[in-house]
Amino acid sequence: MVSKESRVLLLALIMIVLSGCSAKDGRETNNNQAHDMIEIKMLSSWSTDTERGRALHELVNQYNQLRADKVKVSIDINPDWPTYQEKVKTMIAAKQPPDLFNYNFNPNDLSRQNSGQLLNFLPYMDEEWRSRFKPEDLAALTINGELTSVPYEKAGVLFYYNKKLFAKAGITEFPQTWDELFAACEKLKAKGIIPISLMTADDSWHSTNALSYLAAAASGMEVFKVGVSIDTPEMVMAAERLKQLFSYSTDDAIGANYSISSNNFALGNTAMIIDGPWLIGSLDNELQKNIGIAAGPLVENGKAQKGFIITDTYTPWSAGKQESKEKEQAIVDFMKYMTSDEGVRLMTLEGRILLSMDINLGEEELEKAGPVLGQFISVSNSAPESLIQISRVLKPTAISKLPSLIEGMMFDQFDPAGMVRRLNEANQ
Amino acid sequence: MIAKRHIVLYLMPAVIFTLLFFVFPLLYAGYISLQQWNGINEMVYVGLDNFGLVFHDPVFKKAVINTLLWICCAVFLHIPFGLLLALILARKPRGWKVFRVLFVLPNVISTTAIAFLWYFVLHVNLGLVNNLLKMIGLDSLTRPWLADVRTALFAHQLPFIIYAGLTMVIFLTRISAIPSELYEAAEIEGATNWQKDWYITIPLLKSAVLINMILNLTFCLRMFEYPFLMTGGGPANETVNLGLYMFREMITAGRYGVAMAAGLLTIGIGAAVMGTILALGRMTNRRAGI
Repeated sequence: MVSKESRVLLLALIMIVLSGCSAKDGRETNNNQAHDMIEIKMLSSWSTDTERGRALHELVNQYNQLRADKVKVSIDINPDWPTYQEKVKTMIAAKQPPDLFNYNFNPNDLSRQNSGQLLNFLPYMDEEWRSRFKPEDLAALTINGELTSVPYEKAGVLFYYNKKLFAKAGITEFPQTWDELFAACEKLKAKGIIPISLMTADDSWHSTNALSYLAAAASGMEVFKVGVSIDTPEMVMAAERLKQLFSYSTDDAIGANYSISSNNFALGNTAMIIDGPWLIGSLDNELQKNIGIAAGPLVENGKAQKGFIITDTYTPWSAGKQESKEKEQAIVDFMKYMTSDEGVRLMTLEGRILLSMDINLGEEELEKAGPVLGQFISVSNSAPESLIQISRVLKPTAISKLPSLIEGMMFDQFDPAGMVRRLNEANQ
Repeated sequence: MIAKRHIVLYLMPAVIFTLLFFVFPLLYAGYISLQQWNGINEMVYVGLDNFGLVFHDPVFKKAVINTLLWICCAVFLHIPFGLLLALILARKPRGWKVFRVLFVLPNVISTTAIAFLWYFVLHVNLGLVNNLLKMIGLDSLTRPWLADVRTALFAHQLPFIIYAGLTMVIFLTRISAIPSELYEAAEIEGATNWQKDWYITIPLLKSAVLINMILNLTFCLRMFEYPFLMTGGGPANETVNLGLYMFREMITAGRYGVAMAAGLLTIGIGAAVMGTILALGRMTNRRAGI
């Protein structure tokens, strides 16, 4: 017979094991505790050592003061974007979606929208709020008649060029065509200047930006359209030219990650880079005075219009469905504040991020924004057409293979046509 | 004699934890490996399709080969190096205690920190290796060690060598248990140090070799930080291993079923290699009459 001590020991052990397996989440407890104050937890990757992170904190503080004693928004920072996104996915899969989170929208990956766990903002979209957004942005994010993502960030990915280094090579203005750009690369190289920053690690961001520009210049803005084959002669030509472009990049381009590639430009070691406005914060004031911003070069007989740009994808905000109507309304209220003229102005000027919402900046404000951001806004606003970057629109399997395919092409494991064929197969 | 109920009681924690943290996840991984799942939406049963996909994926084959190369590196380089260090320190040269601590020290430093350190040591422009080569006039030997398909695999395995300290300690412990009479007798017979190591020490270290092989094997099978942080599996998948393959399939490609299928195959490969090592160990013991 089992002794009394043994039974107690066994019971204690089972209790310990089961306590760790409790499925009860903190949300219910929080809801019960906070009868008066509605608490909204916002997940974000923007840490406070970045301009956008500081601006978001300021915006949240302003909102909390405005709604003192009624609503409190707190930010839970996960600086590592992939880990953050994985956490969001896990929370949605566990039917405990975050109150608020942002993500990279991909029309080829609608898993979040199809989960049925996200709040539909459409019933709250009154005329005043709707007027804040571009109709095409709302249309792009409306899936199956539901608007589960509020358009927010949609930044251009533009050419940064170092005017001082260009001048040293005798180049007075940014090339208008890819042929001119390669000629400029030759001139820069002849002067011992490395023409462009590229990379292949992680998501190969700077290289896939170049690939996107090359493909779009030839094929137009439909080149990466969902359901359309990317195995086209224009894409093969874009891959060939990307390979050529690598010969004008740094020794460490193959294998370099984002920070190495962007540092090469920020330190004045390279003359060009293709990146979003978040790079501006990494450029010192002296360098910023010599930076020019340009739209995409064209190709002969290409389908793109002069001044076209590539953009990062939408990085909208989504919210989990709420049991409490009050909390749901508080989330909508906060989103309206975030997308208000005041909120957008703060995030653009202080956070240096370009948003989907319209904003009219005066000359004084543009000047205050600094020499680079002003140009960035100007080039973005005057672009006649734009295309979302290739790494943001392909299927996740193709996106995961793209960096190694670029490396394989660079090491002659297959030719550019082989690279494009493999990419297209992964995108099926 | 211990009562049966006590045996059951004492075994229960281990059984419960094994069921909870090994058997249940294994069964669940087996279940997911038969599904098409992106981590959020409903699972769709696809039978053995995920295994077929993994078997036909050249990157998976590369990952298996690279993982086996990691194991070979452990068995043929890492363990012999640890043994060499142990044989040297067993002679207790001056400062041997300091060296023993220095060799063991990397084992308490995070692999992430060491991976980053070596990333910069091997960096094409900033790296110590290339700058040293340039300093001694061997410019022609400089290269992007981690980004060249010919050197990346070897280069990203380099930091592994500094973990030889633990292997060395296991050998040292076993050496200290060898009766001194054996060495005294050998000395009387006029044996050199080399002969003493070869004919006495090394044959008596078989059990330590087996322990080190098992420990290094597990280290290599779950290796993730070096390829992830130093090369990202590149260039052109040249350094991808099974751990990184699973990570990519799950996190980047969102193919949880494929990742789980690869995970189960990794367990299978690990079990096969481990079984081979244990069988070899048993066979050696039987031959030696132990």
